[in-house]
Amino acid sequence: MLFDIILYAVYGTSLFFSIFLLLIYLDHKRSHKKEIEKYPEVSIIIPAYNEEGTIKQTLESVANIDYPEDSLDVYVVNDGSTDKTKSVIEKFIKNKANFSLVSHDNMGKAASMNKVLNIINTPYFLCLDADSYVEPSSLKQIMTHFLTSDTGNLAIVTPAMKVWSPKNWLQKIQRFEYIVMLLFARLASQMDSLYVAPGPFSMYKTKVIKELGGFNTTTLTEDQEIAYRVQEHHYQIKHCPTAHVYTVSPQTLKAFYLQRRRWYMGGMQCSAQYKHLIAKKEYGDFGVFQVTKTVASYFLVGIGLLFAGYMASKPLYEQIRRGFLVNFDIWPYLQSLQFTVNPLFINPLKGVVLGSIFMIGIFFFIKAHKLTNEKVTGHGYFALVPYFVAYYLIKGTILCYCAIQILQKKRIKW
Amino acid sequence: MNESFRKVSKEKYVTAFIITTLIFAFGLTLGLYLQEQRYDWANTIADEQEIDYMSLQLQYLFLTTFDLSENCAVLQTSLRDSIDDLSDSLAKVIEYEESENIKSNEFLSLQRRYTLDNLRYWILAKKAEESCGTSTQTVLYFYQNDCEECPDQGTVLTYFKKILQDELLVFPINTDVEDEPMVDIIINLYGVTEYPTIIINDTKYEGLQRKDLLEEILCDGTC
Repeated sequence: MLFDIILYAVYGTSLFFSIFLLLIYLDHKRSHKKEIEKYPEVSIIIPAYNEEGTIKQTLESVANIDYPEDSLDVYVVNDGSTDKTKSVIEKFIKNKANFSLVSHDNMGKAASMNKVLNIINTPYFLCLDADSYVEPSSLKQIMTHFLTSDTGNLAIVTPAMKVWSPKNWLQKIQRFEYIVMLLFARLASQMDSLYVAPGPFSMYKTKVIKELGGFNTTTLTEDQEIAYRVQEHHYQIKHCPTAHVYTVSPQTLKAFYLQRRRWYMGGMQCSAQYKHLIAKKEYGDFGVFQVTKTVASYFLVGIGLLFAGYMASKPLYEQIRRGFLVNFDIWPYLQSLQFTVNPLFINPLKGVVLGSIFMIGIFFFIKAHKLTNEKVTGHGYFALVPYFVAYYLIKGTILCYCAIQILQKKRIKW
Repeated sequence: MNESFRKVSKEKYVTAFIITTLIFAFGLTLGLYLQEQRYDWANTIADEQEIDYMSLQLQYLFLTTFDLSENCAVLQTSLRDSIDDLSDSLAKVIEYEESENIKSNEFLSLQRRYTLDNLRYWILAKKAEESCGTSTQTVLYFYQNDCEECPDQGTVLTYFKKILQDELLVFPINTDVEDEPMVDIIINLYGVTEYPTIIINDTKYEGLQRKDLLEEILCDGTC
């Protein structure tokens, strides 16, 4: 009985969240683009630590950005790399007047960005991870979005982050995830509820970030922490769906695990640090929905995993037990196997609730692809299966594992 | 800072809550409707079986009255068909409702009816066996709801039913069925005290009977 109550509470909460997001989606207003006459001065900060493999292509993509050259400064930071990163940068920026190199002993990404933040005078700046590539039009897009949406409170505009040329199945699965995340970024932007300013190519108002004290050097995910802090001080964060930036997603399971571990642990750190925002009306939908949902999702995922594990392992255990009773002589069963489904023997409540959640999920999945002009089968059908069957289970497991580690007060460094 | 941009989408939360409630209500209503349909279906089949049973009784009466033992085969076939129908209909409804923890009045009377049906078919099968002397084996299987080894015994018996098919007739008797004097009578007759207990050819076997033992009893170790 208790089991059923908890189960339906989880189903009910998930259904409520799904329907709420669907309502937000249906309320979507299209914004019309205005033309900008004079593009303001802007800096791009590229922190790099041991990125000899990707930094050159990142810099090339920055050099190809379509923006008035005298209004754009690029600061490439070599954060004490032990590989050839520094010499690759030096070679690239030679003869490029608006590129400069900042080099120091390793101090971490956030500290590197703060150092540059102190020397720039442009009203806006962007950060770009050294394993990400921007489209030439992205800067004009994101700047236009910033200037036309700013009513005085706007502090950050986030780009549309996509997976760079997915090669293996893991990257292809992540491509789906990123596309779906873009849709949710749009919805969150609509609700003024964005809670992460992705490392690749988020644009900041310099004055605000300086006023808030720059990037946090102790957190695991400074890109989440800055977003929470900006929200805490009632500044706005918006999403620009037309500013495309490509990022290299982890290719191996181990790299994927390490990346997610950092994200999730950083996320939990932020949730703990900003717990005073939970369900607070003065933070609008960010407090009432986003922060609350993020914390609730830790519990939903935990309970969901426990239940899924129980519901999968119990019948399995029963089958094995039965197998022993008849010495695994399954031939008689196979002979009389029947595949008839009698609708009288389906639990309709479970069917209707889970069916609704699933249908909303599929709706968002297809809409997300349409909005980003991506094809669902753009990289073959194969990755669809693990994406729908196992991906969220794996992510959930990593999340739970991180939660356990946090509870055991283990600290990680990235 | 100017907080005027902050807003709570109150009407959307309320709407989402109402829709969620409606979906749950729809699921629950559909559940009640399907439950009704299940009982209707079970009752329709039970009515058909009532007629089948009358026919069987009459066949048996004719057989013994006029000594028409050459018609035994017809009786045997009808009997098996009826018993198969029973396990395809009532048994399934009961199994489903048990797994979903449904304990309605209809369910309890359905359970009682199923037990009685099994008992009367068992008696008829025994009588037919005496008059016709067939090779069919009958197993009376006593179980209770909260008995640990009963599902295991069920598994083993199902296994033999699948192998021996028409040669084996299993009659499950749930002794938890309330207010049914017939169940008490049969329990007293065989002195059933522990569960599971199975009766094969008037011999009582108490506790879980495993595959190897039943193999000896039911088919001399050759199935």
